[in-house]
Amino acid sequence: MKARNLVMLGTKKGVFVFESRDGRRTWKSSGPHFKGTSIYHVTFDPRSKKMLATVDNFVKGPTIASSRDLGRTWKEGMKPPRFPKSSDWSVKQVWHIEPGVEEEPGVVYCGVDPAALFRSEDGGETWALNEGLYNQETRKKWNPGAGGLCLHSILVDPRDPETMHVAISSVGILKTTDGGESWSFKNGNLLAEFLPNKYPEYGQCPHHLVRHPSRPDVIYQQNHCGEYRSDDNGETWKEIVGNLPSRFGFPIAVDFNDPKRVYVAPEESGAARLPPGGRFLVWASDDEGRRWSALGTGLPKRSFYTVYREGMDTDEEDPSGVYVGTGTGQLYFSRSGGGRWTLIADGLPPIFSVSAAIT
Amino acid sequence: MTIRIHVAGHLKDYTGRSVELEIQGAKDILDVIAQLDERVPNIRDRIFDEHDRTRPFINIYVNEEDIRGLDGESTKTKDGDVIYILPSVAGGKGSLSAKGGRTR
Repeated sequence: MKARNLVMLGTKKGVFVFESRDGRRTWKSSGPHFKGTSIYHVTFDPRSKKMLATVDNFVKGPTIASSRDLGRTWKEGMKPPRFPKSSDWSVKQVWHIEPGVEEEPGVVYCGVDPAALFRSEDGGETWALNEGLYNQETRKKWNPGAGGLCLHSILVDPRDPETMHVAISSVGILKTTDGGESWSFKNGNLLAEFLPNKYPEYGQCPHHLVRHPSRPDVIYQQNHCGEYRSDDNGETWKEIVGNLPSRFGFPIAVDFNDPKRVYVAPEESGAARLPPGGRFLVWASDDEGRRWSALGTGLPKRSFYTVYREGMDTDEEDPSGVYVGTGTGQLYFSRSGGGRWTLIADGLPPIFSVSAAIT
Repeated sequence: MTIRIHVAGHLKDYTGRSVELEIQGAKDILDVIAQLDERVPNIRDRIFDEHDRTRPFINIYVNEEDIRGLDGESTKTKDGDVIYILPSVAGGKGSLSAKGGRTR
C-alpha cells in the first residue's frame, strides 16, 4: 500500500488534518475537529498509530484526546492531567504532548502551564505528576514569561528513556538521567539578556528544543536570546546565531535526513515579534548553524507572518519536506528543503502547531 | 430526597442526550457533583479544577441562584432543588487570556 503523508495542525479553533496519497502532490483536508476549541499541539504516535491532541476548551478546561482513525473521531482521556489536591497549583493549559520510546509503548508525556511534566502509562488515558520536577529545589522561584510558566518541550532520549530534557519558558532547560527522580539545570552559555546576571544558573527563556533523530546527541534550541546547538546530549550549548538577521524567534526544525541542516524563522525582536524587514522568511543552515541562508522563493515579498513554537516541522521523506504554519492561517510546504514554497492552505484559524508523519 | 440537575452547552458532550438528571440525597454542591460524576464519568473534572473550585467559565445555580453568591461549592442542597450547570457567557477581548486564552 502506498505511503500516506499526514500533516496535523493544532489551531485556535480545532484540529485540521491534511493527507496526501500521491507523494505530497495533492492534499485532502479534514477539520476542524473539536470545532471552536483551542488545540495547541497535535502529534502522531507511531507506536499506537494514534493522533494525540492537547485540547484546551475554555469552559471545560484542558485535557488530552486521541484519535485512532487519523482524526475522523476523537476520544478524550479518562482523566486529564491534574495536580494533587495538596498542591497550590492548577493546570491551566497543556502545551505539548510527547510519545515515549518504542520499548515503552503506553508511555506518553505532556508538559503544562504551570510548569510541570506529567506521565501516562496507558496512552494518555490517565496521568501522574512527575514529582521530581515538581519538587525541584528552585521551583518556588520560577516566574512566568509572556507565554506563562509553560513546559513546552520534552525530549526523551531514544537510547535511554531514563534520560530526558524539558524546556520551560523563563526558567530554562532541565535534564534528568534517572527517569525523572531528579532534575538539574543545563543552561550553561545560554544568554538571558533580560536579567541582571546575563548567564544565570536558571531563568533563561528557551522557546523550542528539537533533537536530531539519527544523531540523538545533537539538540538544537531556539531561545529568546539566540539559536543554540548541543553536541553532547544537552550538557553544553554553543551559540549558532551566525549571520541570522535576529536572535529572536520561536520554531526550530531539523532535516530528517541531514543532521547538519536546520531551519528557523527569525523575528525582529522580542518587542516587535515581526519578520525582519517586513518579509517573512525561513532560514536554513547546512553546517549546523555556522552559516545561514534565507529561503523565500514562493513566499510573499511583503508579509508579516509569524510562526508559533510548534509551527514548523519536517517529514521523513528524502528529500525531507518542510512545513510551516503561520499565526494568520497559512500552511506552506516545501518538498525541496525550503528551496521553493507552495501554499497548501490559506484562511485557516491561527496555526499553533504543525506535525508531519507518514503512515 | 430528589434533586434535579440540568446541564447545557459543552457539558452535554458528557451526558449524551440527557440534559436533565436526578440524584438522591446530596447534601451540598460538592456532593451533587460527586454523585453526578458517578453517573456521568469524567464530568467532575470538567466542572471543577483539582481543588474542587468551579471552573471560571462554568456557572452553577441552585434554584436560579448562582452559588458564587451563596456558599460556593459548599452551598447546601435539599429535596426538590433544581441545579443548573451552565457555561457562562464570554465574549470580547481581554478576559480570556487571564482565564486560559492563548499566548505564544
